[in-house]
Amino acid sequence: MTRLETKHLGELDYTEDCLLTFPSGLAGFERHRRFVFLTTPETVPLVSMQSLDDRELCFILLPILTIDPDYGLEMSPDDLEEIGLPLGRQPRIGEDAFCAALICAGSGAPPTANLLAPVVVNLANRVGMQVIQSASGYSHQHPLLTESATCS
Amino acid sequence: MLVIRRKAGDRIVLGGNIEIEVLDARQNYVKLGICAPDSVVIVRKEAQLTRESNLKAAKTAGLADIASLASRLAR
Repeated sequence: MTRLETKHLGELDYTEDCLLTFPSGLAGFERHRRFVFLTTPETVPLVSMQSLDDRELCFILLPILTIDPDYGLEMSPDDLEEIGLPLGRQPRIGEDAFCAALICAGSGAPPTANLLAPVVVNLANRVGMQVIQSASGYSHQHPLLTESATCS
Repeated sequence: MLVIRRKAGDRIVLGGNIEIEVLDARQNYVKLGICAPDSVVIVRKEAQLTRESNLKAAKTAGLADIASLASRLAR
């Protein structure tokens, strides 16, 4: 067990098999390569993506199929190779890979999800990357709550 | 927005020192060659949007706000 300081949940212990490696980091955070996913009963279905290198860096994710059950993930051969996924076919979300959108929330603005560039983690080796879906037409600020939900 | 019609092989110049050449133009894409000083940062628009969005996402609020969002999503 290794001790970890988190942004939201204080100190936690984790085991090496929970560690996620992002060889290229995320856009704007290229030096942060080691993360763990954290979940709590209070924040399901959201997932915290906590940096091991910086306690203050913690992204909030939402599994992509929760937002759009028909989400189409298209990875280039280079992307597939970077995280060790089988070449020649697209990964199956939930079977080959975990796929989730980064959430922007707080600061008074309505919460949004980045469907343009989801985080994808190969479930077999726990190596991940942010996949920029250039030709997809997905929004980088997809509204998370519908009108009726925000008014309730 | 300024709109210019150009063919493969044609060029445009921005600000006197940035030159963009249309290398190839097909139905679904154009291939551009860009000559610019080293100080000019060139990125794909979606990469810039992703970077900006990530910086914003990293400032996402505290645990209470996250829990509140989670409960609204669960409805």
